[in-house]
Amino acid sequence: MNKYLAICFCFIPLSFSSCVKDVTLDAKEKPRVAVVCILNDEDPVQKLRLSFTKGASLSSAPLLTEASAILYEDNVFVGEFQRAENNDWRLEFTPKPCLSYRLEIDVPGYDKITATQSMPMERAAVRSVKYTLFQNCIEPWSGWDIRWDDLHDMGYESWPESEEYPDEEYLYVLFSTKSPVWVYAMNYNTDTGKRELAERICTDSYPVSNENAYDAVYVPLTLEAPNPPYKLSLPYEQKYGETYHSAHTMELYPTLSNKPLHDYFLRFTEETADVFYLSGSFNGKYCKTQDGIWAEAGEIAEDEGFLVFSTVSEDLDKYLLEAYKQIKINGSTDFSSIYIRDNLYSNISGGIGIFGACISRKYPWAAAYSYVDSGIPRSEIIEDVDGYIDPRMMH
Amino acid sequence: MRRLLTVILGIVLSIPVLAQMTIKDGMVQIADRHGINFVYDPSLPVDSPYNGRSLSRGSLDDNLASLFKGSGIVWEKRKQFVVLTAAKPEIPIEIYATISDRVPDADTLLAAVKTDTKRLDRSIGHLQTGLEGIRGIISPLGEGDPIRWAQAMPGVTTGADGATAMYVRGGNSGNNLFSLDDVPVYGYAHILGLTTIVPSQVMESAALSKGGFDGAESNFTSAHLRIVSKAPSERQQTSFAINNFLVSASAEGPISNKLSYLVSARISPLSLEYKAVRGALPSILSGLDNFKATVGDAYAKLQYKITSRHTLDASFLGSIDNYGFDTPDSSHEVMGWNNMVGMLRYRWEGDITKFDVTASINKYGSQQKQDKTFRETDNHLSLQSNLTEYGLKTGLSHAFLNGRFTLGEGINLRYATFAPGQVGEETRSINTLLATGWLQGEFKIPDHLYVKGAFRLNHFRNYDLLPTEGLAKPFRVVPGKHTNPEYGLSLKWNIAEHFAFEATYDKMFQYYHTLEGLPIGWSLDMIVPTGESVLPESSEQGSVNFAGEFGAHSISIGGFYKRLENLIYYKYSQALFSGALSTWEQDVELGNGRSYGLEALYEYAKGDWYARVSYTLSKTTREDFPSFYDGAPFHARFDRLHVLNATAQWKGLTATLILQSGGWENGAAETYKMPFLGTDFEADFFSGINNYHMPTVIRLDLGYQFNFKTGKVDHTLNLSICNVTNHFNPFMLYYDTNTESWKEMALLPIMPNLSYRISF
Repeated sequence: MNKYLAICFCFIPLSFSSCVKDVTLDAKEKPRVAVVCILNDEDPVQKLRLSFTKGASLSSAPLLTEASAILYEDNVFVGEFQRAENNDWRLEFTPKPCLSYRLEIDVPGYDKITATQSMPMERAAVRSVKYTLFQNCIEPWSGWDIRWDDLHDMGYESWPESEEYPDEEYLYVLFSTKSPVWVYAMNYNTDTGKRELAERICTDSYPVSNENAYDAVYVPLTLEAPNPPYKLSLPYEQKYGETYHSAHTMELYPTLSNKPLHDYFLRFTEETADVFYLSGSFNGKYCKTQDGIWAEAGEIAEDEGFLVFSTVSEDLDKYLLEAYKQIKINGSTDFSSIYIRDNLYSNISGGIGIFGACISRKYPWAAAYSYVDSGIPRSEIIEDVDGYIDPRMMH
Repeated sequence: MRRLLTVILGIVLSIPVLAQMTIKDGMVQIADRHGINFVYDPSLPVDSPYNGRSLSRGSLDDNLASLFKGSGIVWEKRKQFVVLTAAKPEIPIEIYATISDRVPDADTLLAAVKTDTKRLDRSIGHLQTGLEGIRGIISPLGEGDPIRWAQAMPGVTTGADGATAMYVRGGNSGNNLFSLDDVPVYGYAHILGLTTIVPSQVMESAALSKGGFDGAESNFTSAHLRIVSKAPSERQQTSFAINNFLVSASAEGPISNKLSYLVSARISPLSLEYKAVRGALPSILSGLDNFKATVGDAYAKLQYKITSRHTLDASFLGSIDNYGFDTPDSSHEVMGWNNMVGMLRYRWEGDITKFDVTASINKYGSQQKQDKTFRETDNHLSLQSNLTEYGLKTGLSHAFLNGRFTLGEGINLRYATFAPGQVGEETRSINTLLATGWLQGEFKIPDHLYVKGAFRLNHFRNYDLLPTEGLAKPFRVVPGKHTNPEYGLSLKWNIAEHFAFEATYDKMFQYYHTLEGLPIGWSLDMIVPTGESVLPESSEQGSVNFAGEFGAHSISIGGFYKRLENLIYYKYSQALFSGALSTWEQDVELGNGRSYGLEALYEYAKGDWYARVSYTLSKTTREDFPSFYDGAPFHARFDRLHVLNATAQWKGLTATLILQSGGWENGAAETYKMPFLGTDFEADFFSGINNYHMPTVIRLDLGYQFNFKTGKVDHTLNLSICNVTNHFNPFMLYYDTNTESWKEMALLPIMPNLSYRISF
């Protein structure tokens, strides 16, 4: 009996064997039609992207090649999108502020797809203000126009023109907006030859919404001054005597130091209290103003980056906020994120996607460095010749 | 495989068999042992040889079943008498049992008639079996358990293959009541769901009620699986048993004339077995690393017979299950649950009146933890659920008009504390009180009609436990109180001699909820109470059934329709793992459910042959959840269209075929390209929930049971093979963090099982 039982107990090891298989959990539902169309009055050609969703077990989504897409403006026929390349469809048309638009799409085998949208009432009034930096000037910012004249009269020369160290910096002010304004930067990547969204952006302006606050502060890039030594500016030379310094430091927008960074964008929901700076992970060359100092970007070369100020419709605002959340979830290291099953905001009836509207303009930016370290205590230099104390120093 | 079976049969048939004795010898043995008298016609074949198992152990029912099996003699218990009659070709339909201490007239029997011990005791919405029926089910442990028996019944679908989850007529597993001697057991699964925590050594019977519930049954909305423990034997008995996963020992017997005991303990050598196999055959264990298990249970019962009518019982049941293992992606998982159930009961049984009062304490805890490295970051997720319940209940029944009318009433009080949350974190406790008063009336016209009506009134209060600083009382009342009436009606009408019509209607409420909406791969029962915003779940169910018995054949076919309301679904799976769980009530959504279907049960019993086929065709949906499909219906997770269980037995051989349509899981996202500020990203689109159809479960199990005796020791050996065809039936899903993809794991590949029991 013992021998028989021993044979029987040999079956026990097989109890532990288990099998593991991959499973795609593809529900194999009928692909949905994804619609992307963001009307923009800056472009004379409006783009529409139509595609099918891709199931989990498929290597690529089925191609959507047959469709009819018509745009209406205040219920008046505008035109039909024509198929261009890949999933892009195009229509030569410029939308107008305050008007409402309707998109009707027919895809064989699907119910009619519709969406409506209104263009924002007006574009956000944004001014970029160009300032000229001065060599041999220990104040960490340039002055107002009038001070430029004063300083020039005093014999100070402006910063030598240099591609590496531009003699301009830009401040911005946002007047009068009734819709949310999204601000972001597009860097030009010399390696890929494409423009990419800058990952971090920072401002010293309020109010800015904090959905995308990043857990870090702005730390200005620094570099040694290109032309040491330098002289103190005239008033301080009078006070301290002619002094030469062998080394000094410059920072990229030092007034933004310790300001909170944001992921990808800044979202303004009302006009700003004052002028403000912008900086962040802005790399490469950036475009300049077209003329004067109160202007948007001039002609933008293919290898130049730019800032975008975009006044968005309510639907587009909701969509962008949720798109940001989903991008963060996709890259999250929090394991519980795999259990999130939220869908992106969609205003497409009969499909998914976004039919949005925005009024966007491009703006310049400059990698402006300012002196921050002169060896003289900061408290000694906040008072200028006329006793004027620039409030931007007081932080 | 064929060679393996040949070896097994060869071993089996070489075992020596029992010595010859007659049925009459067995009757004498049983009469002496159990203190009963046999009443029978001398023309019955009592001098026929008896070749079954030893009668020196086991309950009276088991011994009678074994003694008269296949003899053509039908037996019926009547208090201290057992009446024997010849099996008749035309057998009256089962009706009910009356209580009387007079010597019964065999020609006017009003009692239930058993024609075969393997056949189920079936009545309106009710199925019952004895210990032999439970143990006869093939299972990975070598012998069956009540859950596996119930899972083979019509109207019941299962969760993962091999697990003990049970879904009856569209209700969730948390909508069922599992009780031991009418005290709820909230965490009844054992060994990853392969068996239950109640050892078979302590069981008398198991009964599954799907409708026509008694007045005393409350706080559930689906089914009641009722385990009744046995009375300790009147003679000292000891037994030991071993199977693939458990080693057990039990003892029972008298301490004095009035006091007797029953104890049982089981422990699992899983960890030791794993280490042994790991060393010898590492390639087999590709799915499990660093496996550790602490599994065991203990049961003790004292019974004091004050008089022949007054009995006092005290019992205790405790169990522990803790498992830790690494999945192939080096993630570490820990899961565990524990139970502690204590009960004190006084019973008085008169000729026409019965009374009982029961006090109980019930503690249940479960937890699950996952440590995963995901994108080079360590993540620690955990969930736990704890419940402590104190119960006090009474019941009184009285028979009138010579037993034709019975009236019953009683009260049930439950005070409970719930604590769901994260492991190791402080959890917010919630105290509740559930008071139920019930009334039941039964009316019978023997051989013709049976009607039962039940009424319950529930009052539930949720006391939200707040910090006690500055408060005189430790809690304050929040407006979470509900008063709900319940009612039920059962009818059985014997249309013809072999044919009956049955119907039931039940309206039920439930105040303890098992949260649905846990993420894929999380399987613990998160039990939460009704509160202000989480209303009591309710069900309203009707069923009709036609039943017939024609000689060796019995068949019942019927249908049911059930509507469920206030089902709760946890919307934000991710929030479960943050401190937001303390405000879980704000994150659930209420909806409804619907289930309807056809149930069929066929049995054949003649001589050494027994066959049973159970088939369910059903549809179960959830609906009216605003966040899902805009309130439109969607599949319940366990919505299995077809469920077929077929069993055939011949002597000790058993073959069981299980065919079940796959259940439903949350499908993976579809993807599509979307813009974001001048760039594109891959967005996810989730078309719904419970929209991925799992594969069909197919399992063929073969088993053989044989008994033999050596001296005074009785031996029972069960050999079986589960999943003979090695069909891949998924047990669980988990997320592989290395490949960032889902995987499914099967627990029951082809698995030989062994169970060996000795008793003396």
